[in-house]
Amino acid sequence: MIDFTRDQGVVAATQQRDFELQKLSAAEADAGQTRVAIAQISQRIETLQSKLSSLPERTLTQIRNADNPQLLEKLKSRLLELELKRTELLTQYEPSYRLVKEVDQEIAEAKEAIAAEAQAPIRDQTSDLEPNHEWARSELIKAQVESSALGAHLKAESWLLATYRDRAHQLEKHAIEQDRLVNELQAAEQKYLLYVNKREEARIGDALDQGGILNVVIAEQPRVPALPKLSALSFAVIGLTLGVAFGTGLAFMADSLSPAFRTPDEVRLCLQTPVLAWLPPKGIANTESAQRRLL
Amino acid sequence: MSTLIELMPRIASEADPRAASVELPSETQLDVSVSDRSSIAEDQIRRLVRQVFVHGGQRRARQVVFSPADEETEVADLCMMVGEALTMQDSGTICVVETLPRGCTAGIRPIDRPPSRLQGSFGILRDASQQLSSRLWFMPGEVLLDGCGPHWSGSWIRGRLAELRLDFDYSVVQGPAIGVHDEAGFLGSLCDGVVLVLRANRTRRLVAQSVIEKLRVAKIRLLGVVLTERTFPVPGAVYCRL
Repeated sequence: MIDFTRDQGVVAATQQRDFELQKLSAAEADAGQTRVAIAQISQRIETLQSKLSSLPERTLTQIRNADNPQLLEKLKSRLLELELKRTELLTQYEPSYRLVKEVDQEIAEAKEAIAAEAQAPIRDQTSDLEPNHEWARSELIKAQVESSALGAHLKAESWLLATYRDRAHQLEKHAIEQDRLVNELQAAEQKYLLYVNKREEARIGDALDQGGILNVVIAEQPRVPALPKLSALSFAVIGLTLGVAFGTGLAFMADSLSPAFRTPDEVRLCLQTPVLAWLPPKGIANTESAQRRLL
Repeated sequence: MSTLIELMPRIASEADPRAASVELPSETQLDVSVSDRSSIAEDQIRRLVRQVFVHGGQRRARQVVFSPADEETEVADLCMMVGEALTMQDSGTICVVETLPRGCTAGIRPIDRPPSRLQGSFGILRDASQQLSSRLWFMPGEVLLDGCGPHWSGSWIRGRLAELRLDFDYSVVQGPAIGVHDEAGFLGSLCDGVVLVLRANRTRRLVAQSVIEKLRVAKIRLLGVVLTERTFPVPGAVYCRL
């Protein structure tokens, strides 16, 4: 038993097995919860990925349209200079003069530039990141991280479960072996005690035989009991019961041994003759007769 | 017997207007008084009278011998009660007859016979009997046995009983003990029947069975049995309340 305990490293195999089974049960429950969480995370990742593909990455938050005042100012001053220049030229030359036409050409170009500038003002647009897309992306990243963590946890837990199972099987074998050893130990103890008692009895017998003594009992002084063995009520009940039984028996015996008639039924059965009447004792009859005569 | 002898003068004084200076109780008064009584003995006697004398049909008896099985049993009071009950249930004349075997009459105390009111109107036996009430007579043994020899003669006693039949409608005969005296059986054979009287706790079964066998052999009609002095394990006071 000691060798078994030392070699196997098991003190109480049954209790250890029960403890391992409790841990195995808890680990199995934890693994189940982990699998559920992994499935939940996987579904979350798929949903987030589909949402990321549909959501825009950025969104336009501000649009502002404005003219270019410096350019318009330059164009308008140029146009004014050209008109002044044409006016000056017209004072000296005919409108069909080549210089005047060039000035007219320049004036027309300036006007076209001013019109074009009026038609195409400056556009200022401001955009920002889409918050839903950003949230989905961050959640996706978190879910992917959590999924990888749960996968690692499940992997480690599977290894732990296998370890617990192996340990429980091993402890079960150890428990059976330990029970067998305990039973053998108890049987050996009982046999040992029996042999010790027998040996002691044999030793006492040998000692008595050597001294020529058959039996030895320590004499005790007789003592008066403090209370009677039976109470007075018990004696009364016993006496009453015996008295009733004895009296009943005597009555039945006297009744069975009586040779005389007592009742009309006895007369009818014994003599097979109808009983016409029966009378009470003479004292009663005389009393009734006297009462009757007094009436 | 002594009880009967002590009661008879009183009954006679009640019945005799000259002796008691009072009127006899009428039949109606007797019936009312009887109906008011509920004692066990009287009920039993009335039942006996109805069975033997009143409702007997063609086998209705007129002369009945009441005989005990042994000499310890007393029948005088019973016969007198039967006679009184018969006066209340039938309108005929009744005579309670005392019959004693030879040798037993010496112990009987003589009775002072009051004179009959209707003396000389009927037969010798009725005139010699003692009238107790308007329809009840008592015939002492000396009257019945008057003129009899040292032993009973069959023809003589038959003649006496025939005279009784002529003088009275009903005769209640106090017979001797059947188990002891053969005259009882002889009387029973001459009368209409015998009622055997047994005493409770005294009469032995063997004696009763031998008497019954004797009557059966002699072909004497046994009307029934009366059990007297019956005792009860329940006290009388308690029994009366039940």
